[in-house]
Amino acid sequence: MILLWRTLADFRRRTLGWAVVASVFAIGYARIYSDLRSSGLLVESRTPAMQDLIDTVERAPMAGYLETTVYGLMPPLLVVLCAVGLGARAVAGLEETGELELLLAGPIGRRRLVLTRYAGLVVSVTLIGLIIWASVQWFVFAGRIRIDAVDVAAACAGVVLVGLFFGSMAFAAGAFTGDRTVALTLTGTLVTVAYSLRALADTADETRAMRWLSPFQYHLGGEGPHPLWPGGYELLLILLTGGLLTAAVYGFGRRDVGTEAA
Amino acid sequence: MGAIETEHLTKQFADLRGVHDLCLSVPVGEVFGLLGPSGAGKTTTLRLLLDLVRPTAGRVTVLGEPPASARVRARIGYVPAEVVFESRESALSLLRGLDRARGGRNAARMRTLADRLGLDTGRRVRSLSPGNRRRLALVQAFMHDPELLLLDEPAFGLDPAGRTELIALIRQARAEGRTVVLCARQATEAWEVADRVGVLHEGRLVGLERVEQRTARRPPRRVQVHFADPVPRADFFGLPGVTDLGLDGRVLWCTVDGPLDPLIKASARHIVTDMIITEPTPSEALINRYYAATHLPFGDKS
Repeated sequence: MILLWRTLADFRRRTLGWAVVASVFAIGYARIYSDLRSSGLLVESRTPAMQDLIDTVERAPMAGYLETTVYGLMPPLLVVLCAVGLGARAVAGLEETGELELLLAGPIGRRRLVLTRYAGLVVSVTLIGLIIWASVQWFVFAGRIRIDAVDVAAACAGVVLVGLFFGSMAFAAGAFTGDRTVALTLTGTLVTVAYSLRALADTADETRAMRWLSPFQYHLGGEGPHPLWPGGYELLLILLTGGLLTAAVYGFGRRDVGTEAA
Repeated sequence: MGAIETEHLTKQFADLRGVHDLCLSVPVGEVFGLLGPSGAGKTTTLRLLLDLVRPTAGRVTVLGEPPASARVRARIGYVPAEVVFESRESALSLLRGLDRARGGRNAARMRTLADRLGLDTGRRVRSLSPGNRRRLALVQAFMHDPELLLLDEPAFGLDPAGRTELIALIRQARAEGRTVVLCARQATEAWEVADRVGVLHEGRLVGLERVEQRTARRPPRRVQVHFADPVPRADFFGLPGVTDLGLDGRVLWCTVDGPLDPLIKASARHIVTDMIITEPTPSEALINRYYAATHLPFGDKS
């Protein structure tokens, strides 16, 4: 248990910092949405992008809002970036400072260490999701918008899932190589590709199917908010995340550890 | 059964560095010095003993068990060669965390050691000087009174007071029957406390002997003699025990292995203005001796 507490303490600053930034974005979008709804939508000054947003909002107010703004734009990306940073730090970061060597020189097995650090990652990313959820709920309670709490929770769960997927990727890369820069570069590149793919796929009907190549598509099931219990897409993300954790445990258990060996 | 037993232990890295065919037996209660320059394989050897690095070939047991066992590692204290520590937490917090990971029964011993080594435990770890980081590493290694201590360059960065305390801690550990392996490049402290020393060169154990055997014999000395007037080289050529002879007008330099008498008597035929004798430390002399010639590994014959 002490290892888990130390991991959470290690992640504390980053977790809270990124959670605040993601929440600010979520509330910011909520305020825009609220203003659009209450101001007659400023018919004369609509840009094409604004028109898309308004169309979505008008077509399905709650669902469209969640998918298009709060959980479809910046917050998921911010959560993913945070998760990638924590994932890379979990093993590789600890190894670069030499603290991992001290821990493994003691009575701590490699598998236990990896699983504990991973548990710290899961708790931290989940905490970020909870903070975003609480922030949006606070906005709802303040009477600015009306959104079902379960819908918000479901969308938050999706954000947490996609965050954990990419975080696990960085975690596994760090556990395999012991090099935080490699883990960040590799995962950062894949996040950029996935995010761009998700955004560009919607620009034409011919490329729309390519959105399913991006995990960013999976976290909302492609259909906006959905029930909290895991559906097929969420299950796929969970399975892929589990595979990455298995790979991390396997790789870390078989390689040399230490700053010189890394 | 010794505290450490290795049989043909080999670790080959991609760049060909590592440890090759290491056969070593360190009995319980011995202080063993492992000497050699950077890249000789000292750190890799310690990491093999801790299962941080996995062997390419050969076998190793530590305290009677393979080092992969977490149970055996609980009985080991380790000071790594490089101590970075980037944490924002205080030294006390880090030490408590490491102690709790070992069961959390050593708080009193931790405080005693910190006081003894002069470590300010209230300071943030990342703001500690290299010397204090080394003190921190020493406290965490000694605080659970381990049966085996693996110390990699433990005196690096320590001031004379810290070094004196380190020597005292190692002597105390030996008096209590603990085993210590001490790695060093310039191992004056190893020479002070070690029962035996081994010399590693390019991953191979090229020298292994008891300290008292080495101290009984004077190592070669570098001698520089200054004369009032230029002296002929022929007066010093072929003197017994004198090698590496050089002469530049009024200054002569050479290496003397054995009595100085022949050199002094040859010099006395001229007016000597100064004589400077430089004696290497015993550990330097040992390393120099093994490195001066090509040796085949002979392993542990004790």
